[in-house]
Amino acid sequence: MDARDSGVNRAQKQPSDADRLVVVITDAWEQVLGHHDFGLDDWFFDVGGDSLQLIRVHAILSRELPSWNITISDLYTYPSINDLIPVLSKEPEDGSAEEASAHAPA
Amino acid sequence: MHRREPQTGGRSIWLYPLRKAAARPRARLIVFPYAAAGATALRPVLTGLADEVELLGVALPGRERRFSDPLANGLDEIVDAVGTELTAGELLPTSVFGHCMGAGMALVFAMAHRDLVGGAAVSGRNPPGVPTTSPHLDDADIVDFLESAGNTAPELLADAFWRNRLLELFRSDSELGEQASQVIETGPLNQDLLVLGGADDSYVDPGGLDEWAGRTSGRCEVLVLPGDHFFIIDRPNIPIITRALGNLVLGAPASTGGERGGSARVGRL
Repeated sequence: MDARDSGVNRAQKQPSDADRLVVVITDAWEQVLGHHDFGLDDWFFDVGGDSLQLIRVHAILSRELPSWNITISDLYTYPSINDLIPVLSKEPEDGSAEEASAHAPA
Repeated sequence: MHRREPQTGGRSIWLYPLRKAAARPRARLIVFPYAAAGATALRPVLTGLADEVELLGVALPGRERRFSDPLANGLDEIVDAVGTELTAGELLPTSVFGHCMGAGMALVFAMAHRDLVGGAAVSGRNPPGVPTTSPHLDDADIVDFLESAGNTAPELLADAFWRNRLLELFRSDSELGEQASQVIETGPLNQDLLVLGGADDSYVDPGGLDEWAGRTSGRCEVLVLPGDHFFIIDRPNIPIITRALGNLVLGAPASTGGERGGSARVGRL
């Protein structure tokens, strides 16, 4: 995986975005689940996650990746990291987030 | 959300896989959520089922993958939409499962689709004619219920956004539950029933559960397990419930009692 992040134009932006997404999302899962015993194809709920923890992951991703507008619906609909990354790689969107008001408790 | 095509669940909106699908499912279980929750919350008793059981959750608007969708206000809409999606795909021997409000919804679905649904697992719900919750709860009552009996994380109830969200969902779901109760009164069932109850459930009288047997022309097994309204996800009960669900879904003979877990009462009729 190429982690270089020097690109400024769109052509270079896509792969490094995907790399960064994997790192940030994996970190969020680890932080919330308290372990890293999962792979990129595992479903969040199959590696010990519950809905409150999913909300915590969402809170972290909203903070770390604000311009990607990752929603709670996304995290349920694409339950593995590998499911989620490709659809996010078409992002970020600008403008209104579907769940701008959604947030988790601190 | 509509901006992308889901990779799990294909084009379906109302049904989604609760676990990775097996290559050749032999039977299907459709899981309805309980009030203010999503079907995912019932995974603890589901994931131990044999791989040949396809597990589909009913995705009600306003939660989980449909977090941003406006809440449903009609039970008919839900029953029709789920039925349409179900019949559009491969047909398999199908059972339904729900807890509390979800149990009512599951039975209404079973009544509307008698040819499709052969079994129904009804958890934490009084037999028809006995209301499960008071219809006029104020906010504090609902928060009390969610806190004490509703299996809801205190962190969420302490947060204004989530508390309001859960109250809104609970009210909407309670209305759907009321609608379900009325429908269930209108006629008998023909499915095999598995009735699950908590011995100390303050909302459902475990002694009254045997009456379910008179509501169906199919078989009826009643299992009362230790615990309160959320006995269904108490860890010691999980293997017992999973086994009973497996018997229902895969059409095995009713269990013969003497289950591990000691205080389980098995009443077969």
